[in-house]
Amino acid sequence: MPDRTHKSFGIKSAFLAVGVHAAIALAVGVNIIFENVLDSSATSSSVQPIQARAVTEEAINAELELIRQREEQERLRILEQNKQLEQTRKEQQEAEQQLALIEARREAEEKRIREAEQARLAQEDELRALEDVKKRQQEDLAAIEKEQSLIQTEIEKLELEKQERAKATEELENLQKEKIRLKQELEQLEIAKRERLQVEELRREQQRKEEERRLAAAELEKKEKERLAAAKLEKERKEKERLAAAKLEKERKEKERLAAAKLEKERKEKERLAAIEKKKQQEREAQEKKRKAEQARLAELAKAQEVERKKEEEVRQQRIAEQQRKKAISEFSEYIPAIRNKVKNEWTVLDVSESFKTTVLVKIDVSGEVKSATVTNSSGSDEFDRSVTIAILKASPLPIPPDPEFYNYIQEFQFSFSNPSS
Amino acid sequence: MPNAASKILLMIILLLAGAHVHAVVTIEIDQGVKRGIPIAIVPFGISDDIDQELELDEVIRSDLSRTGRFDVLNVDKFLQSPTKVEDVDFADWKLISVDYLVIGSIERVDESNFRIETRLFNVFNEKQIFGSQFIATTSSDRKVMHQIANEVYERITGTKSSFHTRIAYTVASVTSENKTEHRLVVADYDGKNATVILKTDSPILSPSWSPDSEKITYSILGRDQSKIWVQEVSSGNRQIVAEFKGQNRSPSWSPDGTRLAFANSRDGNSDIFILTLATREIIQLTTDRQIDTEPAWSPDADYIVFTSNRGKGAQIYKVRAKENQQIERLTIYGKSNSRASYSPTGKQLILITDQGTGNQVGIFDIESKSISVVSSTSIDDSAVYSPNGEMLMYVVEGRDRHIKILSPDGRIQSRVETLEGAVNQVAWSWDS
Repeated sequence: MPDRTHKSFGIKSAFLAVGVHAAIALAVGVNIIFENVLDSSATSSSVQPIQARAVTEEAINAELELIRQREEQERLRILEQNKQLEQTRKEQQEAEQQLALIEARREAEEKRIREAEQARLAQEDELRALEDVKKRQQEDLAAIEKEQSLIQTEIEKLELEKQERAKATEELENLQKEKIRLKQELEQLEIAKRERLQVEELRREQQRKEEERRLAAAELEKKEKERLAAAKLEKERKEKERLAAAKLEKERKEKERLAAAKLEKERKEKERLAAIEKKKQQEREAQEKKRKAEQARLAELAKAQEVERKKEEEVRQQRIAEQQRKKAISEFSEYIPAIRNKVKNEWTVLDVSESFKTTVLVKIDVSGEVKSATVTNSSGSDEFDRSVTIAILKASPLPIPPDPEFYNYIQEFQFSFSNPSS
Repeated sequence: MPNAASKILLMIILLLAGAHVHAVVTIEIDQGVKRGIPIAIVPFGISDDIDQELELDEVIRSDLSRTGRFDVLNVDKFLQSPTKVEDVDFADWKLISVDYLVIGSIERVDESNFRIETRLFNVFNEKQIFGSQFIATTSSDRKVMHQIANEVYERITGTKSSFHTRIAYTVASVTSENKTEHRLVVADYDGKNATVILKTDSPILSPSWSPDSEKITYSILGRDQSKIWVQEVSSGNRQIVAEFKGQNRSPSWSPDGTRLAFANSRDGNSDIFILTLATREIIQLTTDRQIDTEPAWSPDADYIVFTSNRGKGAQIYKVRAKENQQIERLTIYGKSNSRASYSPTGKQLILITDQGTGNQVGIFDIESKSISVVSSTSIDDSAVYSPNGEMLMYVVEGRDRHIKILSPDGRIQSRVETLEGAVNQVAWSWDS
């Protein structure tokens, strides 16, 4: 505030000036009064010497002249004095004017000082306010710093969280990848399965062909056997014929050679012929028998064919049943989310840290009412097993396809419970 | 996600079903509902010749509901109140969706003995899960009821309950001569059967049970020196085990019962020590110039956690229970963390944490280093796990200092009955 001190210095000097002037004016005033007093005493004392003197005329004249001169001097002096008085009055007036001026200036100055004082006070207030603000700012700053440190901790925390989140994201990605991989695997499995099924089909086809081939071969073998048998028979027949011819030849030769024994021979021949006839008869009979046997075999075959046909029919029936079953299950699968949901909502999970898995076989009646829920594969924890069977029983009746024709295929199914991974 | 997965699974099952005629459709369920298990405890039948007031089924009811794992049905919802097996109509209980049913009866055997009979049923398969008989006297009826509650709890949840546990707490009150009296009290976990085992005019601090639940160690604050005592609960016999130079505080019993970890300030500031009880030998675990205190053992006795102000504010640190080991800081978050002790699994710490809103009970997960606040008040102190780790207990500070039991999810809270006065600290143990 150099400006202000300077100003106050100015005010002081102004005061000083006013004081000096006032003193001068006062001195002047005193002078005037004093001279007035002198004036009046001089007038009374100048009269008395005249009454006291009674001398010569000359002396008197001289005295008068002296007095006149004195009076003249006095008059001049008074004149001078008046002049001076006038001067003084003028000066006084001037002084008064000056005083008035000074007064006015002083008043102005005072006003200015008051204003300055007010301004100073205002400034001081302002300063105080500023200081308050500063203090507040400092407090704010401290608070901000505190906040910043808090924010810093928060940032660190967030950073950590971020890292964790990143980790989680990464895990999620991994899971996603894993999922994709699993899906691919599943697809591959699917493909493998299809391939396997195809291979299976192919294998079956091959087997069938093999069987056909085998049957054809068997047929061939059978024919060959028959052919061989026929050939053998033929051979035997031929041999027989040959032998018979030889025999006849021999007999003829014998006839010729043994003419003497002709009669005997004829008899024997007759006997032989009779025997042949008998044999022929036997052969005929055998053939008849064979024919009958063949007939029986054919009948047997027809019967076997009938059995085969029946069997085929049975398979066909089974296939139809299987189709029906598949249809039932596919219909049933539509209801599975609803079943799962109902059971899930009834399952109060136990707060356990181990992982448990329980399989329960469920039998239902045609309306979906649970007839039994039997643990077929225990988790090893009675408590866990119990919690799941209670859930199933509480969820009864289960929502199932309303069509009773499917019931046969869905009256039994199972639940596999595993505790929620926490 | 599980839906899609199970759909694929179902497809596979259907495919397999094509190949094998006898394959059964399987429905996978890996989700359920987290809620209290609905159970009804029917008021026990009391034979006419009993005129004493006995606290029976209500003990079972409050035991079970306190755990937060049961939804104990209100008696006025019952459609029937059977006391014998032949009177039970399961349909009535199915109708109000109760999974389990407890019935019981009590009859006089002789002048001072009663026979209590009780049964637990699975309402849905209508079968009895267990039935037992107990002989009780008027003074032991609560104990028997805790036993029954414990059996019910174990048979349904597969885990041990906390109903057979004891607590020790310190309580301060002003006597008629206007002096402060400090008492050490042991009681059932629900605060009943309270017995004062020590009265002194000096504050009793940090009670800790021996692993066999037969002794308690504590520190008594003296004018110049705090000393550590061990007291046998049944006989009341007690002796000083640590009066080393400086303050001897915060004793904590090792899991095998042979040692105590404690804090001593002989070097001017508090450090952690281990005292072998048989030999009175000590080893020093921490040597720094900061305050290290409130040690607690890990269940495998390998580590000790403690509170220290070596970092910024009070935080929890971990050190191997041997000399000259590296010290690891555990807690990162929070204005301050103190009074840590291990969960029975050793995977969590229970502690007092100030997350900027005052002291609250927190669970610190050692692996993830995260803290979850479980209490709802903001002025809590001295929190401990139940011996089975399934419940928590802590002291609520303020004008009315008292003990609260908390289910670990913070859902169920109940006040423990305590002797008159301001409760300071609490310790929890199996019943010996």
